[in-house]
Amino acid sequence: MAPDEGGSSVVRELLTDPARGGGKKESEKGPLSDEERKRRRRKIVALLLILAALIVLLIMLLRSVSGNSPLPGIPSDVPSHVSNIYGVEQPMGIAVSPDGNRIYVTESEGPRFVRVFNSSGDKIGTLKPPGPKGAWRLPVYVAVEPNSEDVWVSDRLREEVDVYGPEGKYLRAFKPTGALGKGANPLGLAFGPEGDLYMTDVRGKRQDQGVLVFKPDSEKPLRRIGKPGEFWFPNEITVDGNGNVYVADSDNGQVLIFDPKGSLASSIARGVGEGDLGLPRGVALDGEHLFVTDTTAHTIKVYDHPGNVSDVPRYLGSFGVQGVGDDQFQYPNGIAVANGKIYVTDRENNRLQIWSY
Amino acid sequence: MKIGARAQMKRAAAAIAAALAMSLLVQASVAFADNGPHIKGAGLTPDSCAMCHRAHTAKAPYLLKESQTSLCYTCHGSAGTGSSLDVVDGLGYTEHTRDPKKIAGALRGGGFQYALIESNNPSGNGYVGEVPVRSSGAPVTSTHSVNESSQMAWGNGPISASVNYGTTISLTCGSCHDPHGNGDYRILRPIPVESGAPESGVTVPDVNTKYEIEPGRFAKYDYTTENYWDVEDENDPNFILNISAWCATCHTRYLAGSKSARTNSGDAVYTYRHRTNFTSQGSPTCIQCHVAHGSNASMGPYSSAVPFPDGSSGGSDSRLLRIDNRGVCQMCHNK
Repeated sequence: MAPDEGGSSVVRELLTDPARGGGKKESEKGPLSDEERKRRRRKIVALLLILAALIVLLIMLLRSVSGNSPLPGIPSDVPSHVSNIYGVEQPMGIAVSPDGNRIYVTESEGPRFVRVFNSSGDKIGTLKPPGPKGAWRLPVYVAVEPNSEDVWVSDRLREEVDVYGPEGKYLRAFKPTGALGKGANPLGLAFGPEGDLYMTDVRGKRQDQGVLVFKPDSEKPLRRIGKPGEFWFPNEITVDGNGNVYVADSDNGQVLIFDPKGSLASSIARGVGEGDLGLPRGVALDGEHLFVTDTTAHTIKVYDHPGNVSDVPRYLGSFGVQGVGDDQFQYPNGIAVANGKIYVTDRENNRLQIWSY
Repeated sequence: MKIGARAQMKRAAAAIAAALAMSLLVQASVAFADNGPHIKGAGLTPDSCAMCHRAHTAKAPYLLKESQTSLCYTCHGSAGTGSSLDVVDGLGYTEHTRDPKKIAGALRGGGFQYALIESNNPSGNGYVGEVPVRSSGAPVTSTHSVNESSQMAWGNGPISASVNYGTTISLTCGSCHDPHGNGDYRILRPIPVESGAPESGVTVPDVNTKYEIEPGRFAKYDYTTENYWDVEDENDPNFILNISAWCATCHTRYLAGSKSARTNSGDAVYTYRHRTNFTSQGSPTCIQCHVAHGSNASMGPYSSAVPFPDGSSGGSDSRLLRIDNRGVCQMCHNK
């Protein structure tokens, strides 16, 4: 065996340090010189720094396997990556059935289907509106009606919303009347607690764009949310259980939050500070969090879901950075939450990502 | 424990605490806010610069944070839910209200993946001819490539007695368009990037001639068309005076004057040339026969057999023509 060196000799010397109760051995060897004491102290410091580094590494390891929580057992503010699902071309919108067993993803390239996956990531079907082979379409965003589980898909190019049954059967085309009294240019879709359909409309000029609310059985809007000119290419929309409406006001770089009466209650602003937004496209809620995809920042920002709608959501952190790695994004766009998981379309990486707390 | 040892221990403990704090801080700040669409006249404290640029950590030329094409397509591609102009599909949504029966609007320049040119169905001739708009997009058969790949700018450079086909360049969207806004027609750069054009360049002016898209509503710009043979832009009838010269900032030797078809230019490659320097309204320009982005026209056996100027095979490349085969010849000459 090689002579004691390095760490083991440091430990042995610590044991023999008179300051740590090793006086007997010292007396056997005789008093230590000042130089030797200094050398031992330096070794103590070095050992403590090594221990500190090991602790840091341990914490980082624990964070990576326990939902980014700084310490085990403490809930994290941001979720952890679970898995990726491939087989979609330039995906945009995403929605999930309430039980999490059907994941609907719209494609903006290739055949431009709505791809349907099961919870294991297996492709179980495609949705497309009736029409001749090669007919043009552009599905953008999708929502699942919570009671019937019908699937509503906005088609910006065909300027209608296609409705499918939960098993994928095409039911009808919903052709909403827009703010101009003619057709709408639908993007984001969501259902409110009262069963109404909320839709962002980007038809026409800036002053004409906004949020329209419909009864699902009527193509004429019940009301409009927001003032003329308030929105600029509003994208995804979501509604919480109290009827508060969250809109990704994309080109204005902000998320606008309206109370159930349609009055602007609060917002998350555009900017360069922590928690500020750049190009928000997707919004989704779980019971505690508001998630916003910041497309050109290639990340998902997480805020608390305030109990009072007039409170500005508090920024908690973000997940994902730009790249092609498993937990990295290239232009994330749509987002959905269901069954305790967060689903995000990762457009330029041609996949969707699943995250969870 | 002696005082010196205690001090050492305190320093070590402080170092540990600092190391822990630093590790947590590094873990917490993984990403910061970015910025949204560019805004002309953003003032002296704009945050919009940061949407596309990085001052010290850029990953693409011109201090861009990433590939220019991906950035542009985020708003102007088929996944571009931040604009009414889709240059991938050759669509303009804003003008659709002019004719509710048709799907969106057909972008005058075509698209980089699809175009809406009913190129097999021209009618009439001369300047009152018509090339209808398709009801759905067809895959393009030729484009100006904007993915930064190398390509030949045919005819680039002055008249040359020795063989000189042009210059190899790589194009992005910003090669021709100024994303910061410059007030010119289609925000065209007076000097396209890598064109080698003279310092003065060619300015294609814009004006605010408005057209009524429905009673009482006026649009400032008209990016779409309902007749691909009609190149007169209702927004700015004056652009016709400059557009050929602008195209020739890259394709220098394609700009040819009167009698060029029967006068030897002295160039070893571009010896006899179709006149292109008309300046009066209603006269043919480069864009009378060609679109800028991409065309879905198809070529027959003879047309496909025409090589590029350097003799390489042109294959089925439609040369950005607006009509199948060489229909553009017939629209004027009707032989």
